[in-house]
Amino acid sequence: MPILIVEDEPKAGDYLRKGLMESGYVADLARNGPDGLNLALERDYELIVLDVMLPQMDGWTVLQKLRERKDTPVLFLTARDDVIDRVKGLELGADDYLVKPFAFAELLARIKTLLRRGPVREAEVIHLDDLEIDVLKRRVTRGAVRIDLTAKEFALLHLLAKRQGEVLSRSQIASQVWDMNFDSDTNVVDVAIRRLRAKIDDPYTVKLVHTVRGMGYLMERRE
Amino acid sequence: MSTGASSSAGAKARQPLSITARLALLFAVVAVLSFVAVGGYLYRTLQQQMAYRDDAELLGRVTLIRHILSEASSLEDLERKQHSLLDTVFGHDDFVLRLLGPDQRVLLQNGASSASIPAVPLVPADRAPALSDIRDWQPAVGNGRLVSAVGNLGDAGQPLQITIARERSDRLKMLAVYATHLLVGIGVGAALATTLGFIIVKQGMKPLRSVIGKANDISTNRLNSRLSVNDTPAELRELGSAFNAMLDRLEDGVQRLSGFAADLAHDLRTPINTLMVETQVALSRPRSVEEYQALLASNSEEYERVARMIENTLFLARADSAQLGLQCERLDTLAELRRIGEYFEGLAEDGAVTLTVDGDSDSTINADPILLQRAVSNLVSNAIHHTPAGGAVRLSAQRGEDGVDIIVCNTGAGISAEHLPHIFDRYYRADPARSASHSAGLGLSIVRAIMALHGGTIDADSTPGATTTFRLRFKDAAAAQG
Repeated sequence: MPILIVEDEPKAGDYLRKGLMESGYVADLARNGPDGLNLALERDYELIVLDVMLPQMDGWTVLQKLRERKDTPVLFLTARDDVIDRVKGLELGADDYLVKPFAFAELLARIKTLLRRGPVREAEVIHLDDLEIDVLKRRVTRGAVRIDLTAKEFALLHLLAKRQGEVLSRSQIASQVWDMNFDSDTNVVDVAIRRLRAKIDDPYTVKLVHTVRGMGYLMERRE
Repeated sequence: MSTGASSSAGAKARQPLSITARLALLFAVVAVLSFVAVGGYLYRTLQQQMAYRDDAELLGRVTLIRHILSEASSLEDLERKQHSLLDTVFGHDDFVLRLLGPDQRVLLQNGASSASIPAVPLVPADRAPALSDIRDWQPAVGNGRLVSAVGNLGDAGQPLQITIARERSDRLKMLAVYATHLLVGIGVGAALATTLGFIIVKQGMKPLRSVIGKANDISTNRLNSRLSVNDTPAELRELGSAFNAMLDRLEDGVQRLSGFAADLAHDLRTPINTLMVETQVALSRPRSVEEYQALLASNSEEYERVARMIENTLFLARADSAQLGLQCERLDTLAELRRIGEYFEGLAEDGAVTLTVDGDSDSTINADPILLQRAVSNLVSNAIHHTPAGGAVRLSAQRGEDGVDIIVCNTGAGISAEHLPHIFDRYYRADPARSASHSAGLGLSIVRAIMALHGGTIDADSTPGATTTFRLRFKDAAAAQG
């Protein structure tokens, strides 16, 4: 199921499309309001990423006209994060919003959340290579060796493991693990990752936690 | 278009008169009214005086004629004395004298014809005529006064009927002339008063004009101009003071704003410069994929830094103009501090800093959870950053009398007294050499702004070489309202 991107800024539009396609989505791009609205009404998209400041017809109008006929989920992008703007978007029927500038990982995470249908059954035991995470018992083993983690280290590992293959930004990690919901420039997350790595990666040849420079961290098995 | 034009025309029509015009108009009305009142009063008094004197003269003549009659022995004798009788009215053309004999025969008459003289009640011979005996009379032209009395002829006592009348035309003429003069006087006086009033009011309004002139002089780049309040009349002094106070606030605001904009632009230069030069150097010749990747990653970090700077700046701007909507909740301060402590635990351990959290359990406050996190985190992050290895950072919640104090305390070099008053200023850095290494100096400004939004306070205390303490005071709701 494709995603529609409505964005007038040429570079931003191209890179959003490229980024989404490389993340495994099919993405169409409309460069102005009327085109975006026509496409959205003509075809069935699973999600629309809608910029607010558009030529000819602004995002609010597109959203309004779309909502008259369709309930396609809409994630709107705005450079203005006044409370009024945000409230306006949500009142018009947008499902979520992101304020520019945003991290690409953040956009992917939001899209994933919006596309997720129904409650996700969380795995009780997560396997990754020879790492085993028993979520219920809160026990971590690698190979046959039991690894002791603090509560927060476990939460961090659990987050990375259950979203394996997905890049998580520092602020996402801070929010999910420590419930710190603002963007700070401390390197707390980096320190925590380093400590986690010391326990689960450093003694082993196969590394599981990877740094994606400029974006964040992800966990996966790399050949 | 047409509605706009008509409504603006309507607004113009409803525009109130200028104070000068109003006062001048009032002046004119008052002047005309008082002139008319005084003139009318004078006119009336004069008229009454003249009427009285005329009437008194009339009565005097009756008495005189009675006297002449009493001295005549007979009608024949009276014929002879006619001359002296006529003398009484001689020289006054407007006097009319008629003497009727007992048989209603006209003995003597001068002036108007008999027909025009009406019969009026006679004053008996034994009573002196009084003012009340005089009647109005309508001669052929104008009007007049008339009195009739009985006069006894000589000792014989033969009663004769004396009628003496006087036309008032000469007096009327005088009064008419007087009235004309009066009207002209009122007109000229009113015009003069209005003109003078206008000039005086205009003069009186001069200070106001100078205020207006001064106000017109003020623009954003000349905000330091002030009205001189001392040489202004009392009525305008208050306005002037209020105006000056407004200018003070405006100047302060504009100065802060422009300073802020300059600081921001200045602060943006560093990361933008890094990005520009780094990218240009990389592009100057072919590089390996790894080098490109490293460049892009490095750029991404710089971008994030710029984004954060913008976010922080916007946050402060909004906090300043109170555009941030607080979403306050009842929060257990100690629990919040524990969570923040957990967050920074790794960082502290990494720097060999002991991080402890303690406090009173009944320290509930009403605050926005995200903003509280942000404020305390900024302080803790700073504290850890400035604590040397082996030092300690203590986070504490203390229940006070009318609120809760959050204390962030660290050991280390501290802040010297000269810097202490400025640490909450935007972009203020105690150590200029460190300016490029750490993020923009907005952290403490943000903490202060957050405290201001919550109606709380922040203060800092430092003993150089020993400890530095930041104290956030959240007032209880009741205390904050009271």
